[in-house]
Amino acid sequence: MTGPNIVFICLYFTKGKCQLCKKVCKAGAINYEQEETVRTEKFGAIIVATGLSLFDISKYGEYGGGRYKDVITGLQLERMIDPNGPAGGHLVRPSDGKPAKRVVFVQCVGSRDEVKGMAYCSKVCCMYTAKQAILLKDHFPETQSYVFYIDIRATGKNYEEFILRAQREYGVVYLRGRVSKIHDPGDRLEVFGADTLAGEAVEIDADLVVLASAMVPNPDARELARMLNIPYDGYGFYSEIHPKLRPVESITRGIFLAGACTFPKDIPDSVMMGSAAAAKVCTLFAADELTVEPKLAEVDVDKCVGCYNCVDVCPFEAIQKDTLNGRSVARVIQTLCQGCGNCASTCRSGALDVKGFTDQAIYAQISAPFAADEEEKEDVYAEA
Amino acid sequence: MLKLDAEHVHNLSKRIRDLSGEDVTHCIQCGKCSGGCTVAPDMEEIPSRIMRFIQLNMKERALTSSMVWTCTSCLTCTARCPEGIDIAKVMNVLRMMCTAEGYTPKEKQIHVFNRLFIGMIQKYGHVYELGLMVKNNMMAMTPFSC
Repeated sequence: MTGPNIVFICLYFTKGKCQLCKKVCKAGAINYEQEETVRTEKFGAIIVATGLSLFDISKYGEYGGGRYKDVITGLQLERMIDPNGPAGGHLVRPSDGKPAKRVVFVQCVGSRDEVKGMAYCSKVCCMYTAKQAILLKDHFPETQSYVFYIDIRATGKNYEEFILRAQREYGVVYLRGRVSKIHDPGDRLEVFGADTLAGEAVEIDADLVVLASAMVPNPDARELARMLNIPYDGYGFYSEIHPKLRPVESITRGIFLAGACTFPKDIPDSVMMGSAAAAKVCTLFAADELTVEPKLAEVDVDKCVGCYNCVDVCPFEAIQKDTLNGRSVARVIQTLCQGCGNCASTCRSGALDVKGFTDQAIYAQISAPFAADEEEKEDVYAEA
Repeated sequence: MLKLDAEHVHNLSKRIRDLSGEDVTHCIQCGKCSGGCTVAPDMEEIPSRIMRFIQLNMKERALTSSMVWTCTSCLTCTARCPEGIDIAKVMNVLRMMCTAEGYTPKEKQIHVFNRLFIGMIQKYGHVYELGLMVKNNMMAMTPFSC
């Protein structure tokens, strides 16, 4: 038995009795007095793998999400058919406990919806819906499942064949069209959708409706991102430093990203990202010294007036306030600097410059096209 | 409104499979047959939609469609189908079912022409074009059209 149920049935916690598990545990691993603690420690790297949450289906009033007991989410269906779950693994209508034989799956609830939900596709639902339909037919052979879809996204290894199996071997009826409305007259659910391939509006009487709800960022995702200086997009998904070439790294060296916190993804991709992030951490820790690109910002302490405008504009929090002989100066943390040059362009005393891209070199590049002749051009370049 | 239920949804596709040997449930609705169909541009239904009607047990729509009768059996659809379904054969089976069950398309003349054509082959072993034209025009009450 796992999960949150344990505290409600444990005899020690409910009645102060038993303690049998503690007596038999040879490792002495049972501690009833353990409390939640907050610890402060230093680490060399962080991998952020905070995952995602599910869209609130009550926003789809036309589906009766949150109102009709027999309209549930895919996750709730997983719990229902789990033998250790609240329904003991039986496929039933939550409203009256009767067995559910006609199941309608609705894809894209909250996904691909610019008006009420998220514009993006949540990526995993086409596959898990097919899996659930297959599972239901396997365990409860009298089930007839229908899936309302807009497009089927089955883009992995053997994924397309899996969808075809659901249709051909397990008799799942796939209908191309979004569900418009669900009515609950009491003893059944009336699902009104469409099949655009046949050009017909479709009505199905169902016992249970399963909504494939969108995957959305956690409610506290933005708060955590601000703490770790991780940029996020309009939805709240964490941004990689480069979405194609550096997909597991954040803008800060030493903070890595893995899994669905950057965008919905399935298990193989999450594992891949986790492995990649771990490998990058190992690479980081394996060397005695850190190797960085030489394109770094540098403070000329003689010119720096300690205004700290540079600290505010650095996206990588790579500039620190420091003192030198009692004078306030800025100091670049070379291991965090990415050489973007924001500080150099902001610095009003010209104290900050980026190695390899000095102010003088850039002025020379600007002046060169306006040089009168080849000789002047050579002189301009020579000065830089 | 199409009312779907579990018990009957596969009825028509089973019947078509029994009659033709072709499994229409394999149709993935890609539309390649429709794109290549030589008569589809002039028809109200396209071949892939007829396949969909069969998949969803929409017998009335399938058997009253003029597409089924205008099909020339050019076999372009069959040649191109990525699932290897002989669509032309399915169209033929639908024509057989129409005749057997007394369905006629809205454009009655197409059905009449087909019956005359087949009747002529049964009688003479080949098509006598002039005779076919005359009979067709007489049946259509347009004796002098070409």
